[in-house]
Amino acid sequence: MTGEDPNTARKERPSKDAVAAELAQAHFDVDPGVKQIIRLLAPEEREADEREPIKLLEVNRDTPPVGITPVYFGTHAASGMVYPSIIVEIAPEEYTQTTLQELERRYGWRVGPPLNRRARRARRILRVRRLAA
Amino acid sequence: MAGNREWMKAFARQAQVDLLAREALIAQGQAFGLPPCQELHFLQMACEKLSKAHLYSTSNPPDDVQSSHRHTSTQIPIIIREIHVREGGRRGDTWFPDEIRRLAREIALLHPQVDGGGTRPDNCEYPWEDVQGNVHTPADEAFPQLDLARSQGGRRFLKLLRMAIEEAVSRP
Repeated sequence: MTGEDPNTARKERPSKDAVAAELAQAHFDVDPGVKQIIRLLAPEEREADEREPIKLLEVNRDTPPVGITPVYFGTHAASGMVYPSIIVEIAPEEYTQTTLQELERRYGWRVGPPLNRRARRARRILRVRRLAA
Repeated sequence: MAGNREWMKAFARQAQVDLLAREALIAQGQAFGLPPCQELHFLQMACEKLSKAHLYSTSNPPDDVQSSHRHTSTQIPIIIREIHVREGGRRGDTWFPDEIRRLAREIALLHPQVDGGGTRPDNCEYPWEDVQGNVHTPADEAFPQLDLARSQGGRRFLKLLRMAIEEAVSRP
């Protein structure tokens, strides 16, 4: 018999939550303008679908206030992006109830948990632990 | 009526050949004495179409997606940053997102209808008049703000732009 056991492959796939956290961290790391990242969630059943993108609302001090224009990205297994993603970047002054209502009305996305910047030291320890394992 | 996916694929494909045309012009342009405005025109068109391809990738693209030129300066920085992250860009590259935003804005301003609220009439297609009353011809301008080949950020931007277009074209 050839090929990978699909059950094993499924178990090894990182969760959407884990990939969302990694993606948010990479954005905090690379872009000093990013001040806050909040997960956006589709209705529960749709969100559980693996084809439903990870959606991040990013408050960026360096972006102009031009309204909501979500940017879609396909998967990219080589970098660990095993789910598609959507980035919605807004200026700090746009982070208002009106914007959140617009996201829900236009796209059906509600605000989920904030994804916090991890402390540098904590990440260093994690990396050391990973290397030691 | 065509669906968003068909529009996405069409814009991505056209962005691909606009960028190819730019590269052909750079490779052959010197022999014909072509000025930078010609290759920059193709660069501006490639970026605008890539932005529109990404807008059509969502379930609900903006109403003005076909006609507007305003999306290049806001979409391209997000697109290029994401490809940068996927290619391993990390903490030490924090200067790069600022440079991407600057380049994306300068590229958007190449379109004659994008003029920074009247402050930037310079563009790569039509002659314009400056505040002193002098008429400028794109063919005689050097566009030093977009001398991409000579800066580290510019070269990386171009490499990531090509990758972003290929990613959009190859989407299932």
